[in-house]
Amino acid sequence: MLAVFKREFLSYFRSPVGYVAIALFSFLSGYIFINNFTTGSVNIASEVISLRSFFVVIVPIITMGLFAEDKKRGTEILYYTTPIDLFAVVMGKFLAAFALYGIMFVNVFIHMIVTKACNGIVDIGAWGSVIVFFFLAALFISIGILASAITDSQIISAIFCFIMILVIQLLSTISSLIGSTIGAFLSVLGVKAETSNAVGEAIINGINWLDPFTKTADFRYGVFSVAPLIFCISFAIVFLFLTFRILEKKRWSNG
Amino acid sequence: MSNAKNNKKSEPKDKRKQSLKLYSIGTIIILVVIVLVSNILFEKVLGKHMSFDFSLSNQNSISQESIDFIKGLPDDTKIRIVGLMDRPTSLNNNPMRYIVPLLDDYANKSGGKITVEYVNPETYPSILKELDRENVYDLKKDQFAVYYQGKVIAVEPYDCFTYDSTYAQQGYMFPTANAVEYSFTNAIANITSGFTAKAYFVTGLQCDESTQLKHIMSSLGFETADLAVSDSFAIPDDCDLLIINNPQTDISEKVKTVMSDYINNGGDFIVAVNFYNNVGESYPKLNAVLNMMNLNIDNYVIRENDATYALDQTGFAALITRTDNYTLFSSSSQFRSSYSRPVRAYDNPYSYIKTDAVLTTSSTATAVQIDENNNVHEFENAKTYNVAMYATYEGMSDPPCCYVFGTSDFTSDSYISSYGYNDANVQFIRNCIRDITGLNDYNNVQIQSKPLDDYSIDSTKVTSSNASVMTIVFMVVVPLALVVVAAVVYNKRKNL
Repeated sequence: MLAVFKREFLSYFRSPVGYVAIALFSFLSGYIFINNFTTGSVNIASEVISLRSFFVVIVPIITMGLFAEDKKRGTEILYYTTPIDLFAVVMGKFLAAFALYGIMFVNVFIHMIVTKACNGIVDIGAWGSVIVFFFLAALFISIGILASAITDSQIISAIFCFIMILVIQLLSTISSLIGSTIGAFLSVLGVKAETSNAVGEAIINGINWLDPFTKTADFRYGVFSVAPLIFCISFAIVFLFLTFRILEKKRWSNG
Repeated sequence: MSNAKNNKKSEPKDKRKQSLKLYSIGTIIILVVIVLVSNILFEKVLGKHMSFDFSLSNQNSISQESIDFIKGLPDDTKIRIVGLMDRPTSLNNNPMRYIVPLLDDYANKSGGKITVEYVNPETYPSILKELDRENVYDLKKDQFAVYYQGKVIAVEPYDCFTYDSTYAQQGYMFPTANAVEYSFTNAIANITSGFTAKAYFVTGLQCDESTQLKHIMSSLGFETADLAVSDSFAIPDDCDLLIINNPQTDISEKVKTVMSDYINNGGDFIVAVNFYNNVGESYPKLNAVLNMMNLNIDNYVIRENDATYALDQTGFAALITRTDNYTLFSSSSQFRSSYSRPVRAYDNPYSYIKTDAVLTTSSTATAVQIDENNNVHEFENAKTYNVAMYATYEGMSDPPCCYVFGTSDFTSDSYISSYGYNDANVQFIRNCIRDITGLNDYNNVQIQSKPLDDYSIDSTKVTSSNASVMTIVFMVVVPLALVVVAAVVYNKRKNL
């Protein structure tokens, strides 16, 4: 796993991908920070929360090539012919992408130092947001790796990952849309208004339960809960396991 | 023949493939189920206990005072806190950010005595009828309703904060402190105590705004209303407490007569008058009413000559101390006051009138006159002056009682919004109100306001040159350098 991690991590810097991703993150975080700075009030938690919106762009960039590139070049055969555990390969690539995220985040740590130097506050909410940022990054990177494993085209992989993350980011909007549509549909069918509203609300709550952003919202206020972190990690494991199964499929399937 | 042989050979292969496929799908399904079930179980069973509030002043957690109070309620108590709105999801830069997590904590720590729900009356109109069958509470969308045994106290999110009065005068509401827990715990205390009372604020005498004092009284369980001075001025029968808060002009003859009747009928009242914008006003009619309680407010301003008491060079802003009978009214023995008038016992000969000094100056204070040209004239020798007094009739079943303050620093919006609900003066006036209305016999909880998050940075460092330097470094130099390196790396390795 360490060898895969090392190879993948260094490969980010042997190609433009790592630099471009860091440059993009640096520009976006800088823009948000300076916007806050000029108002005379810097809340690092807000900056980190805003940066989460860019998962949808940055995660596909850093994960699209992880398996798709190997498939395209035909080097993936090495995973099946060398005595290495396939899950270790998946984990190694996951950790490499995660480490790149860690390097990108240095920008925010610099902003924290500047804030402190200007007698601002880096409170517990800021650290809570940082913790959540990394747990969400783990979740989305695992989705990106899955996307990369199902195709040999980096573009398709990036689009698939983009759509998945976008859907998760818009989950609360999607849930209210679905909930209210179903509620309205039931009303049209003659169901009592309060019952149809209750059904709509249950659907909204059910879909919202899957929303990692809502679950982790309180961290920015300094309220740390273990459950949302377990949620992120456990679903990241699910996506990594799915990736492992997809890769392993080649061992026994014809295709 | 050979086809049959091949089919026989591939049969075990297909079987193996099939079983591996089943194994693969099975493990995925099992893992997903385990993850879903364990997440749901963890959230339901341990979620509440595995949540920790590390925020400044525990903004999102109820204090031990609230926990103890709720614990003291009977086990079968069922209080509903209903947010008349959809549960807010986006709390960023929103006052609800202080309310929603705190209410969740009430539900978590109440042992089932308090439930919190969000019901939008636009979606579920029946909720208003359910909470307020008689339609007497005038519940509205976006309020919180604290419901207990058919009674409701409405809490406005706006009222859960104190605001800077300077900005408020300019039309901006700049919150200074978080009083969410204060508002909700006191609403719970009041609704479960059974205490109800109505206070009227006399208006039309160029009185100070009393928004903050009304808020404090509301948290004590009072319903408040204004009573405008007019030719038909009358004090309603349901008045439990009358308040005249820093009038700039004297009361009218009509108000004097009505108040005299009110006192004769055992009415309670609080009067606060200072010496700031009303230097020429001696309040003869108001004093005539106060004289019935053997009290008098003098038309002088107290100057504090003791340096340990004086808060400014003029001595007009100074500390005052409570007398021994009022030690329980505040944990602090000293209070701020400015431009105070002396309050003294009048020479009413009736022995059934009992007066008591409440707040006093040092023994070296003097009373001085300031004329309209701001010339100061020493009037009396140095002695201890009363800044607040209490009076009542002894030997009556329902005697009139009053607190008279020669300062507005206990009741004015400007003072309370500047110093917040935790200030000693506010604590003191709150206990005066509780004392005069018998609220001491009921449950009440003292909750500290919490400071709001302040992310301001040193304004001297927010210069346009600093902003420009940072813009260039963070948004131009660093990203551009990385893009250049990316281009170099791409060029070097494109043929590998």
